[in-house]
Amino acid sequence: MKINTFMKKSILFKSLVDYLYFLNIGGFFLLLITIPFGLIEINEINGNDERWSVLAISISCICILTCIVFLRGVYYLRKMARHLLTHKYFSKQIIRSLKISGTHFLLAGVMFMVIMILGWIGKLSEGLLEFVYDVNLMVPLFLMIIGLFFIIQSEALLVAKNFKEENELTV
Amino acid sequence: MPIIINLDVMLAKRKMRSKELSEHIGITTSNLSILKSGKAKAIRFSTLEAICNALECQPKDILEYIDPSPN
Repeated sequence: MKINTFMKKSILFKSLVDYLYFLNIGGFFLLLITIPFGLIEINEINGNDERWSVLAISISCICILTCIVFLRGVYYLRKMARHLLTHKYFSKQIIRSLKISGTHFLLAGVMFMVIMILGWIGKLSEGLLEFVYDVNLMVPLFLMIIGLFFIIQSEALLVAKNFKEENELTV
Repeated sequence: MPIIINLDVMLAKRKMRSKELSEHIGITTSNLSILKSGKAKAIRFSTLEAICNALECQPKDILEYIDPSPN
C-alpha cells in the first residue's frame, strides 16, 4: 500500500519535472529562433534605449547562460526522477544526478542574483537609486536554497548507501 | 582489510562442505561465500558463535589479524 502511494508520487514527480523541462526548453528555443528573424524586436523589451548598452548586452548574455544552467539542472532532475521509478533509491546514478542538479540550481540562483545586482547598478548609473521589495527577489533565493538542499540530500543518500552496503555485507 | 577469514582452512580440517555448514548454522550459502571470500564488512556474534559451535573451534581459528605495515 505504502509502496503504491510512493510509486504514484514518483510518477507524478516525474511528470511534473517533464512538463517543466519541455515547457522551458520549448520557450528557450522559441526565443532563440524568433529573435534572429526579427519576429521579436529586442528594442521593444527595453523601450527607452535605441541601442543596447554594454551592460544591457552583458545582462542578456548572463540571462541566456542562466537559462541554460537552469535547463541543465532540470535535465539532471529528470534523469534522477527516471531512476527513481526503477526503485533503486540508493543507486550511484540518483546520487550523481541529484548532486549535479543541485549544483546547477545553485549556480543558476547565483547568476540570477548577479543579473538583479547588475540591473540595480544599471539604474544607479542612470542616477536612479531604488530599493524595491520585489517577488522576483525570492526566485534566486529559492533556487539557491533548493540547489543546496539537493546537494545535501545527495550527500545524505551517499551516507545511506554506504550504511546499506555495510548492512548487506554483515553476515 | 587486515582481518583474514580462515574459514576455508577450518572447513578442510573438519572435512566439512560449505553447504553443510550453511545448513548447520542457518545462513544462506551466498552469505557464507561472502564471508569466505573476505568481502564481508562485519560478522555478528551469533553467526560467529554458530560457526564455532559447528566447527568445534575458537574464534581465533577463524579470524586472523595481519599487520598491514610489515616493517
